[in-house]
Amino acid sequence: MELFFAYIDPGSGSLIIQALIAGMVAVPIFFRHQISRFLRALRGGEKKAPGTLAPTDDSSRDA
Amino acid sequence: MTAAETPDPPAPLAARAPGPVPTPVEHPGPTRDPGSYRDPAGFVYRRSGIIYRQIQASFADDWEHFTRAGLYDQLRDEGLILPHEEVDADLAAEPPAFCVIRPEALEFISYPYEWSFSQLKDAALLTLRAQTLAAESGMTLRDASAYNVQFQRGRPVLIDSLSFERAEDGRPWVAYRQFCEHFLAPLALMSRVDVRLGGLLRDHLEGVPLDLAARMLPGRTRFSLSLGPHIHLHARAQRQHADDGRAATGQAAGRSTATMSASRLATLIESLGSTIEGLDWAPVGTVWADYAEHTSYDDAATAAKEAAVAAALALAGGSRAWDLGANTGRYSRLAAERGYRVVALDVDPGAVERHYRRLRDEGRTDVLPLLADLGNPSPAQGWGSAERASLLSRADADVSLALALVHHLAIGANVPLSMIAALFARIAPSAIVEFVPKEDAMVQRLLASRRDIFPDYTIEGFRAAFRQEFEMVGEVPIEGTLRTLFHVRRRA
Repeated sequence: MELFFAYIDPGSGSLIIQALIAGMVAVPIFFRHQISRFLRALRGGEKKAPGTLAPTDDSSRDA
Repeated sequence: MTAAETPDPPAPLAARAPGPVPTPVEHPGPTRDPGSYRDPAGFVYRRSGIIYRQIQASFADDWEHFTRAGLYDQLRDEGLILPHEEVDADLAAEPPAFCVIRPEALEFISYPYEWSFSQLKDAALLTLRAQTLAAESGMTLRDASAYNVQFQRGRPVLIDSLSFERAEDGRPWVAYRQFCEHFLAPLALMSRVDVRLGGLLRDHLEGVPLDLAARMLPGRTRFSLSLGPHIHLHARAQRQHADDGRAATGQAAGRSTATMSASRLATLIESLGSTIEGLDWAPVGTVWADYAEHTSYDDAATAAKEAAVAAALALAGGSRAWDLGANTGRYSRLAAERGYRVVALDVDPGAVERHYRRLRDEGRTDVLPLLADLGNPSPAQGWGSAERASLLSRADADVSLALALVHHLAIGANVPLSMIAALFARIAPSAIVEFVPKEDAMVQRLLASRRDIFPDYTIEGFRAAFRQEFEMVGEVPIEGTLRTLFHVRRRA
């Protein structure tokens, strides 16, 4: 795979370990999603889909 | 980091005045931003006092995708990116250019080592939000430098519009390392060890090395499901693969084998987001955070001081103010309410943090709190000492406020009054300065534990010192106190 525009050094270790780290952190994130899905079902309300990073305080303030 | 983007020191001053896009009648030599050299996709330069960015033909496809496929519009509409307009390609600094853009002029340039904890945290969340939106548009952030973020109208924005490239399925996030070094490591250290470790960013312009962060963080963070992988395991992987390039021919072995699905990448970003969200710091126990609430004078005296400052500001005129020793911003607000755009400097991370949070909560856009030690302001740094401008070279104020400050410099830090006057004269042509005499309780407190070696620290000494640099415009005793408010104007 060529990294045409990776003008910064992404670091071999940083590239290689990412998939493993993403796998590790997938476990708590999976449970968090399950819990929020459960809570949503409990409330019966509609909420933002899990898994999307919420906008920062700032981005939502004067939108 | 393209954001090396940071316009060079005098640029923000000159570029501030909004105006029509100039017609290329004449082409006075463009000057390339001294910090804009890393990225071959384009660079920032200044022409006739206006900041432009040239985009090279090699980056044309990604740029087209960024601007035409809706990502730029979305980032702009959410207020996440500094808006730009495309201008005549004839304005290119080094033709041929694929195109030239003129970004909105920045109000002020500040650097991550001048931000409070929450300012850096908000900049980190902004970066992740941009990556999330980019992924939804089939693009990715190709860098995650903290220097790609500036505060504009009180809010962090991305200033590097060349940071987005089309995503390729299976490719890991090339900016992961940079994100961790520029944002995660310093925030983790500030939150879990000591907020003053934010100062490491001043020493490490490329971000805090992860092995350093790993050594300084409490041992238990190794077992956390957030800092454990993103800092400790990450640092270890960096160490293990440090020599990969030596064995590989052509491309480093690791780069050609590392793959990662889009959903894995989304998980990684989400995890970074919740990790950053989980880092917090409450400003308790720092020296100044409670100072404004525990001043020595009563409400009537405070009202008298406010009235005197307001009257002096009305006389001073101009549109930009620097509040030196701003604490949590009582007088910054007073100036902002009178139409000034204020840069509010304080040496205490707790005061700057509180000030920023308060402004953020209120949605105020005209005050920028920054961490600065007048005894050691940010130096010029980076390549050729030109990449990151010194704080004093960025001084753009029409008037400076120095309220309840001079005694801390003169008696707390042994700076002679004449040197204080000289520094104020460098910062702004006008100054509103409060003199606090030795009889005042606050000065007594400073003198309590040391010998009084300050025979010249008197109101006469103050007048004499400031007359070397300034003309006296006004001198008003603050009712109900022993203090005096001076309004001075720099000698022509």
